[in-house]
Amino acid sequence: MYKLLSVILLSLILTSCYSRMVTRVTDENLVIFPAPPDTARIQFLTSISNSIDITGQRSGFMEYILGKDEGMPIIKPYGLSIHKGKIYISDTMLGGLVIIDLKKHTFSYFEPGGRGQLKKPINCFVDDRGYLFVADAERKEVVVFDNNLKYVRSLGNAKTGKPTDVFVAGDKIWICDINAHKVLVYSRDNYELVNSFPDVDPQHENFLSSPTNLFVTGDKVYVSDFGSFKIKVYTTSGTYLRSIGSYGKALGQFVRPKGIAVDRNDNLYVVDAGFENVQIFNKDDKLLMFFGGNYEGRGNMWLPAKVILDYDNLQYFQKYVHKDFKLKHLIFVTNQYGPDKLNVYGFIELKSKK
Amino acid sequence: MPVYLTYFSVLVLLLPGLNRPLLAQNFKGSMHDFQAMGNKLFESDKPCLVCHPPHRSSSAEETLPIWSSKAVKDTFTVYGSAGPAEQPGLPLGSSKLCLSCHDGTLALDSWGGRVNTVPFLNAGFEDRKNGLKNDHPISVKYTSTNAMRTGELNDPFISNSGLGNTIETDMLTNGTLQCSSCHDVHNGMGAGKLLVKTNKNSNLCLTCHKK
Ligand code: HEC
Ligand code: HEC
Ligand code: HEC
Ligand code: HEC
Repeated sequence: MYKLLSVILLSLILTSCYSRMVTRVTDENLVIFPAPPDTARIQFLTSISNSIDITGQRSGFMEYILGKDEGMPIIKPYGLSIHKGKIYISDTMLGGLVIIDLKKHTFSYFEPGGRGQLKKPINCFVDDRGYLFVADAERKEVVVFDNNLKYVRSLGNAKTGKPTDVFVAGDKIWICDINAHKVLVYSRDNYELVNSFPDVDPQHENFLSSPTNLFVTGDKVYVSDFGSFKIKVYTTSGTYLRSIGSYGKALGQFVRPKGIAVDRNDNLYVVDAGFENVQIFNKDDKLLMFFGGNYEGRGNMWLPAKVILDYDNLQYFQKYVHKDFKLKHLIFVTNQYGPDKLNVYGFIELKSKK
Repeated sequence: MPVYLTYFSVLVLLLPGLNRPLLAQNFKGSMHDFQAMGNKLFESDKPCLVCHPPHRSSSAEETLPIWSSKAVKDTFTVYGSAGPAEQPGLPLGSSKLCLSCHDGTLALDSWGGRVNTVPFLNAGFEDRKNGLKNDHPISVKYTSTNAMRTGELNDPFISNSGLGNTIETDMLTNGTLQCSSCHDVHNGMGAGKLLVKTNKNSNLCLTCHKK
């Protein structure tokens, strides 16, 4: 009994002895896009690169007793997913996932063994039930875990395929396969393959040369084709509709398109690892703006890979928002290199003056 | 072949870089000749464009971002590196170019973030199973001073690279070691694994490292 009490007490002391630093946002350190005098649309909020960014530094006293906490790094992130206050980051160099609990302020590595073992997790997706899907390019399968992170099963043909991304929408699991040059569609209920597209014909414009990332909305499937330097759009049944972008360095073009996401206004966000930025297009495929840029400091990017949007976890990042702005949604961007591994931006609106 | 030669003559004038022979016949059919790979990985009828984007494509219409009142610039900088330059381990310039493709999706992602922590002399490079986790450090300064300090490296300004000139001229970019110190993307030497020279008997390693 006493033992239990002291354990509880000790853990209380330990958790309360971490101090978390929040840099106050001032007019001087504010990072916004596009630059003034244009109306600010996006504010850089914060970055997460190490467990200390989440758990906080040990207090002076605890540091004296336990030594300085060096923390655990995010090593080389590619994809990520966010669900109910938890951020899941697939780290290709770790060969596992980093799981950050924003509510409990915890940071941990998920390195499952046995049948769930991961080798090179490129992307991951957590569905509305909390099931975790991981696209592993070296294992060449999508590995499924339940909401307690227990291994469920794997999907895909490791002999012919190489999944690079996975998305769950409706009752389907959508997998982007770079070796098969296809999007594979599985049923979420029985894990049967129900559809795959496009047909393999390199001559046709619906062909996917090197598809690396995908995003599914209510009625469309967006595929980032690294090899044709375009974002290709299909209906959910696989009919090719159109493409966005072309190869080159001009605004609105791409050289190394990677992660993509679509917001609630049908605006498309595209990461380019060559320009080291994200471009945003409206539903008529017209360029609205871009943000990021070659790394010089906070808010810039270093070989970025993924972009994810989130409308449900704003509460954890309100403290970084400038007082004149209203936060509409969050934008997460991973950087494979550099000092800032996960950049968090906010899509903002100027508060109306009373 | 004639197609390749035209691109060579155009690009030679445009690109600063390491002074190396560009032998078209070696590039052809190499792992970086994506056209020879049946155009399946990359949709490009021009074998060189994949890594050398045209300065400004004429087909691109003038696009002014709708949310910008005036054009900030008309092209993006590719693999620009300003900021905290030359931090050991953080890839710059042409190494960024390599790593933008070698990210684990379509091409092997070699060389990871665990910089300078894993000594590997004999282990690292053959370790394909571990995705080359123990790769060589890059973006490190290689000067006469640090050669002297460790005493384990040859002086880059004096030692012959075996490629025609000194290590400094033939293998370093702004005095730093990058992917291109050991690799020639164009396979100019035809030495296998796109290396600048074969690594038989640790030949490549011993160019810079003393026994
Ligand atoms: C896989 C990427 C890639 C492909 C494909 C490629 N290049 Fe390069 N090229 C580079 C890089 C990287 C450099 C910078 C040199 C360095 O640092 O090694 C470069 C530099 C050059 C240079 C400057 C001289 C030099 O060696 O630095 C010329 C000329 C050139 N390339 C021509 C070509 C031609 C012609 C082709 C098509 C036959 C081609 N390249 C295809 C990546 C590529
Ligand atoms: C446009 C994309 C792209 C760029 C840029 C690129 N590579 Fe590659 N590289 C590939 C692909 C695709 C392969 C073959 C697939 C694989 O990795 O197995 C490859 C293969 C290789 C190989 C193995 C060659 C062999 O014969 O086994 C080496 C070494 C290599 N690349 C080095 C580099 C270096 C160094 C750079 C930068 C100077 C670079 N690559 C830039 C796409 C690229
Ligand atoms: C110090 C020299 C050195 C540097 C620097 C270096 N490499 Fe290599 N790399 C090698 C050697 C040697 C091999 C051949 C290993 C073998 O024979 O299996 C190799 C092999 C590779 C391969 C092929 C791996 C395989 O299993 O086929 C790739 C891809 C590659 N390097 C990419 C890179 C990239 C990208 C960088 C920069 C981030 C880089 N290398 C920097 C020496 C180097
Ligand atoms: C172009 C010159 C060059 C070549 C070629 C080269 N190295 Fe290096 N190597 C360096 C430099 C510079 C360092 C960094 C030394 C320092 O710490 O300042 C280094 C560091 C290392 C280290 C790490 C030492 C440490 O303390 O972290 C190892 C191991 C190594 N090299 C092995 C190799 C092997 C194996 C090869 C052949 C495949 C090779 N090198 C080829 C220049 C080179």
